[in-house]
Amino acid sequence: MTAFLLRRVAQMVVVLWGAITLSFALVHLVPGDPVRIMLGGGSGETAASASPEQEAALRSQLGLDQPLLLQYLGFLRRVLTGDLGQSYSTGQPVTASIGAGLGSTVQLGGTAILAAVLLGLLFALAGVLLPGRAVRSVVQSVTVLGVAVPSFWLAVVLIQVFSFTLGWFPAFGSNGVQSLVLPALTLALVTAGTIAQLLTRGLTDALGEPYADTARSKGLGRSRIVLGHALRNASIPVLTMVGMMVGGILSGAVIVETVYGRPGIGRLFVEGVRAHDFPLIQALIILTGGLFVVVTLLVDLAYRWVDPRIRTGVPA
Amino acid sequence: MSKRRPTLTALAAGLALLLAACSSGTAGGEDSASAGPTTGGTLRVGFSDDTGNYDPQQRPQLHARTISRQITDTLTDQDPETGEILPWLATHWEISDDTTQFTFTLRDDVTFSDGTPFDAEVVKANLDRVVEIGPLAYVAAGYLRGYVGSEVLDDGRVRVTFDQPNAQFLQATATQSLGLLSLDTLALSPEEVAAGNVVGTGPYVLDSYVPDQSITLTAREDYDWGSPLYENRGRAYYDTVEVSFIPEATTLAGSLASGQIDVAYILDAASADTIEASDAELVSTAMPAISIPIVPFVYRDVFADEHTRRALSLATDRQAIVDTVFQGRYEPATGVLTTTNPGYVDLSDELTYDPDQAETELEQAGWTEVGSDGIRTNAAGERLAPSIEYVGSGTSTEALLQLLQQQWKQVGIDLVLKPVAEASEDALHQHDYDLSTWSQTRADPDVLRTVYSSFYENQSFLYDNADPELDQLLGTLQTTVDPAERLKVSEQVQRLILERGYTVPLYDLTQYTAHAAGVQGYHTDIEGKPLFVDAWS
Repeated sequence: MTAFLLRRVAQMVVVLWGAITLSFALVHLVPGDPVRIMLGGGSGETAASASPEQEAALRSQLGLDQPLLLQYLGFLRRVLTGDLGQSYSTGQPVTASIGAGLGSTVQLGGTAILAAVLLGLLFALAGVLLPGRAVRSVVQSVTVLGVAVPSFWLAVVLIQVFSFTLGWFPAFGSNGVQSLVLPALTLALVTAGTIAQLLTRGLTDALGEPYADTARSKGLGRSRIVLGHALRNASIPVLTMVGMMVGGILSGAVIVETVYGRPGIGRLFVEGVRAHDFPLIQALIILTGGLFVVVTLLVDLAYRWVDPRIRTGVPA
Repeated sequence: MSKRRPTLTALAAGLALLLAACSSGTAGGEDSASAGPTTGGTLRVGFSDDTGNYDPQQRPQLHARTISRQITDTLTDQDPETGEILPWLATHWEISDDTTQFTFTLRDDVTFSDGTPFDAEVVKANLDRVVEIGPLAYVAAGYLRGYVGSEVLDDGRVRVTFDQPNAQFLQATATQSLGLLSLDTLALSPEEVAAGNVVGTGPYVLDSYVPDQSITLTAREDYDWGSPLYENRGRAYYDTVEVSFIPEATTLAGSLASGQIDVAYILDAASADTIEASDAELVSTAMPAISIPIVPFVYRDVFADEHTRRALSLATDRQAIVDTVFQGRYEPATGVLTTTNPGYVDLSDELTYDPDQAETELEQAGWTEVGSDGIRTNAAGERLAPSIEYVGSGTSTEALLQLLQQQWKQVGIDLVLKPVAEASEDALHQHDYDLSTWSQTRADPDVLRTVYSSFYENQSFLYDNADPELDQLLGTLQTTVDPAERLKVSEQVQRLILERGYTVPLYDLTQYTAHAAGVQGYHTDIEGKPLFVDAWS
């Protein structure tokens, strides 16, 4: 176990280093001069009024006049000490901006994952346990909708119906539980469909396994077999799905946080890209890379807990 | 479902949307209108963008300037109707004959919201600070180009000196870029001020700013020195202004239509329909700016001949562009500047759509052969195929360029579209394309100098091809104070620009905002920024 953990942590460091290097390269690979971007940009105003002296002063202040290797080492050192620089557009440390947005996104993402898993579980169990083959197949086909609907469309429909027309939930903001319902549902519904499908498939397969026959021969009912035996085995792909959902939530947050006017990481991404705010984008790349690495590790550890065969290396 | 009244109202709004009903009157607000302004309550405002930096003197973005407008005042103000500069915190001013010295006499009854007095020392400290932070305040610092210093004559008088004539400075004192901050605010670092630690003399005080979420403004009880353009020169009517940031256009428009906010600040042209189908009222402001143009780069071989450049304008059907691309919500250009710019001159006679004349001009420029594809070539066999780089696939910019492509094809020009992911910030002339489109807002003809001069060589379409006559006229504009004289120079500049085919003005930008029917007294300043001090419900 210790060897496994050590190996995984070493891998994490390599991946993170890659993310950091990539974020450094970004500034130098994309077209556009950061200095001119800082001086210009936004609301269609041009940078025409900045003088060459002003440009030069800013360039040396940012260290952009140094050799590339020195810039890179300096960047690594600053990242390791937690100094990710200041946003071009706000002048604030980017760690502060991200710190302020992270809470809101974690709240949104956590609620969405929980809702997705619960809804997915509900539909999968309904699709396997409800009496009547026809009823079960209707439930199963409903879940296809969840997979097929794009989240932007879903967001606009939910907001149109439940906010603009019925007035049940606010259309924007992040005050209280009410404002969390529509955005979390938008993110959850899309993934819930996938989870339900995976789980239904897993449960159906598991019911055909020899151990299910054994259980049936001992006189256990369908629901006992599903809940007591098959569910645990069918939930491994769902765990993988939840791990992937963290990535989906971060990219989904870009749309959902914009449509519902919520602060958060997705919104920062949009603003950073639009304003060519390199320090902010760099920090977000490193953060996303870090989150992925941690979540992947957690999912791998969870496999071992759900299925002991993975832990002990006994062939299935 | 219909137990609560707000629900019914929202339902009605939704239905109205579905039916696309014709725009309704102001029935909702009529009852209170007869009672006169009432004090109190909260104005809920939706902003389409959180521009992040709330130091009025730093980066010049519209949303931030709108906040600055409520919390800071300026030495002068500018009448949106006439463009005239009016006294505000400065009661009057004298300008030396060579326009290098400006002496302002200040009001003596003005204080900052932290209790400190507003005086000559403060004005000097503000101007000194703008020059000191230079690049961070590049627009404001640009207005102060050649700043020698400010001299405090006494508490109520300050003299500003430049080392060169600077006629545009007076208008600059009316812009938010020279919004006046307290001495304590000026002592903070630029980052601290940007984060919303701003103390001014305005009718509202910035209470709190939570990035991407909200800004809270509270009314100042002792405010008593409003601009001559305000209906209400005293305390603001609303106790509080609560700004939420709603970046998605449909959410912003829908939130206003369904009564979740009272004011929506900046709507796109497409959302205007949503507003018109609801009870809310749409407010449009023709921006004082340059007319949005297509500018041919004179240093490119294809546009070396002015006949070729002039043909572009003649081959352009502006009305069709406005009707097709912008649903008739913008106005076709009638000059180099927009109608609301104080330097505007009606040059619509020079901007006619005349494909026949365009072809004549092209013949004169040597594009005499017409190939089988309908595109002209010259004696050297080169095709007349200028290219343009632009950002934003699938946007209205692209739709506009595609239409232009069709229009120009009629006279034998092949406009080649090159969409790019992001605008290049490098020097223009290092790039391989021939045309560009720009925008620049400022309520002064000096905006012509920013866009159409060769003074900033790396950003100029006249790179290596400076036009001494044009540059001289633009220089004269810098030194001319008298409005009538200034307008005359402005006209000469604009005629010259059109005559030499330096630009193809297309349309005048209109900015849309909207307010709920129950909000009274809503109006905007010359740049379309709402003035919350006059609003009440």
